[in-house]
Amino acid sequence: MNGILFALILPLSLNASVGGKLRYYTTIFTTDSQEFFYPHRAGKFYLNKGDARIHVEGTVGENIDYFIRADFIYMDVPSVEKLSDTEGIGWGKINSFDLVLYEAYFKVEGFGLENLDLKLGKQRLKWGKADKIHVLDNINPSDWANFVTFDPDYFGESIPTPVLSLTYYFSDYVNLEVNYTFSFKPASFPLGFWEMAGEVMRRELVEEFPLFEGSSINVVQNLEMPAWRPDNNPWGIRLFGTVFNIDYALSYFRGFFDMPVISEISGNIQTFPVAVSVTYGYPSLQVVGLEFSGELFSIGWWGELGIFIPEDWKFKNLLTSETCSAFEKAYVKFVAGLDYTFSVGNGIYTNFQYIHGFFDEMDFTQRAENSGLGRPGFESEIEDYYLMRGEYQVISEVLKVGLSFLLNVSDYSDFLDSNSYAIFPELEYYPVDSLSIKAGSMIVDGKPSTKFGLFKKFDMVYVLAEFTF
Amino acid sequence: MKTCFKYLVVAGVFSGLLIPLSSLAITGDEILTKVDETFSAPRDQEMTMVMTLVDKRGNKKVRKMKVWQKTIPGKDDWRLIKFISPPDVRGVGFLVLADDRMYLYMPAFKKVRRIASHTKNESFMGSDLSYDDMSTSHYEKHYTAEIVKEDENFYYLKAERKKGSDKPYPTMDLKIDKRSWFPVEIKKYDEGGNLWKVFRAKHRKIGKYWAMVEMEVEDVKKEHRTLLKMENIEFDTGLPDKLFTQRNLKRRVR
Repeated sequence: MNGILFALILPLSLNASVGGKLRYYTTIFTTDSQEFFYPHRAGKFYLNKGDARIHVEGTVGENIDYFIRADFIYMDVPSVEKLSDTEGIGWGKINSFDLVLYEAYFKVEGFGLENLDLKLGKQRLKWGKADKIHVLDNINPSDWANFVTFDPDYFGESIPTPVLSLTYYFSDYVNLEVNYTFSFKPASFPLGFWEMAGEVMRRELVEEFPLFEGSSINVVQNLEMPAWRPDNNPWGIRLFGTVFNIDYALSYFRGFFDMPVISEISGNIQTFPVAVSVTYGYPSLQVVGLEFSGELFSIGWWGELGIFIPEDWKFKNLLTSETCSAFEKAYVKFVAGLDYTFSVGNGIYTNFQYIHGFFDEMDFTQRAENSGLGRPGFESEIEDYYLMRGEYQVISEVLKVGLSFLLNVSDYSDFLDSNSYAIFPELEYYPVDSLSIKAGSMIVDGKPSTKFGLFKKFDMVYVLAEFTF
Repeated sequence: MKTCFKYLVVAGVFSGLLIPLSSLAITGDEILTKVDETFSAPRDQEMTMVMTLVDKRGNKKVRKMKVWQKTIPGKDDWRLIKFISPPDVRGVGFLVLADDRMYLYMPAFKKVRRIASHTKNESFMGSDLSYDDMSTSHYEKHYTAEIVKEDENFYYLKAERKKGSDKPYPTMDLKIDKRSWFPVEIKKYDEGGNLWKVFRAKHRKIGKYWAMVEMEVEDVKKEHRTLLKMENIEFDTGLPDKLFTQRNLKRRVR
């Protein structure tokens, strides 16, 4: 923690500027849920969070820029459970907060060669030309911990990681980018997620094996990480440029799934309670990508297509003595979108995207599906999504309304029973420069066996106040 | 000889009379071309622009930006805009390489995003100028004009959008300074023929070029005004092509 503060203070002696954001985010459930995960009543807080983001950036000499961002985050939840929690000079649990070094990198323009840029350090590197939902943005791992807070600032975001990035600018037509990460970093998950996953697994085992009915099952989850070797770390290469007024990129990524996949389920029914061991790992993955964007008749269009080539990941269920390949040898995920502004009043901005394969989805083999992988919900089989968004500035730069509609379809032949949707109305108000207040809601519906159906009792409203300095 | 002299005198008198009439010989379209030539006379230019947004209650918001522009003969001019303040827009960059090739860089997202020309009608960062107003003029390419009035100092033109042009204003009234070929006032109308925006500009000569130094844009419908003040204007400094690239768009404002 001291190191981060030092890193923030040190550049102040150089030609640096300091900026940041102060944010407060609060959400309240509007529906009751008696589900075993996150049971709640309408009117109860889901999450209150405040953060102070501070960044320092500057330039050294003619061509070296640096950027450091630290986030002080405090979860404004009841943290005092016993009297001793109120003790301490630093106000103990009353004042608990996390300090995160979000990004810290420097960039050298003209690194040895005039057209070569070097960017080194903890950073967020974005691939893909789609709008917020990508299939090729794989260099940094997904930030699921913040995703499920439904904080709009984190929608579709990833975690900055240490990367060596070299970009050579040949011409307007073609440029080359090479990124090498120094270690594999997995996706983050919300607190209690894996405990909940263990409970889901326990319930499924009871359903599948009547033998376990009435028995006490203890599910132990293990994780095997990829070896930390220079030749095993994720990397990617990308050619990009503009040809015939179309922006394009061709890419190749070699790394790992950032979410763990089950490799083995084993158990000992001789013990009491019955001990079931579930082992997770991160299968290696190659992605060959194509991206493009342009405009036609003033309509903006873009697309991303990824051919995913996972390793032959063996799924072993020793309870059923079954072994099978988890994934198809290769499969495709893609996003295609359009946007247009209608000349009504201040202009109604509209955006439509078709997504084949959400962030967490994989193409499992039929045998793996039969064995329980790829079930609806998290890490499910690839499905289709339609995202529609409209925005209107009621008063330019003062008041904006937005509405997003995300529809999931898993089976077109059984549309009524296989779709789920989420609606996000939002109001954004800028009372003065640098201050914005967003108020919005998430309304979800669908059968419990669908992607968003799991969250149908998680309707909520939120308010986010953000001050930039 | 005497007759010749008489003819010369008569010709001289007529030529004197013809001086003001000859200026009428110029057409509205030719004036638009002159205006375009005046705007694109410098090979390049850079400046600091201070933009003040004033709502109908008099509340003000101030934005400061740096602007670089390069004339590309026979093509759309290149323009790069980077915001310096306020903090919530600091680092936002806007690059125009053609009418149908524009990029926006949002530092919060660390991403350059291509924006299609449908956004041209949207407000540029909350101002009364649209993205289209911020692009280079090229009046002659999109409008045809006729002179409706003329006085000692100004031409008064009525301009109509050419068929096939995607400009948002079907008609405009322009008041052009005869000395500099600079438009000092432009009234822009909407599709219904109603007055939409009024542009009033002040200009002066800097070096060998005329430059706009102040502009007021009034959105009549919204009762909102934008004041633009151009400072530190420099011409022909030899801005390199590499300044107008996505690589530079992402570069930190210095």
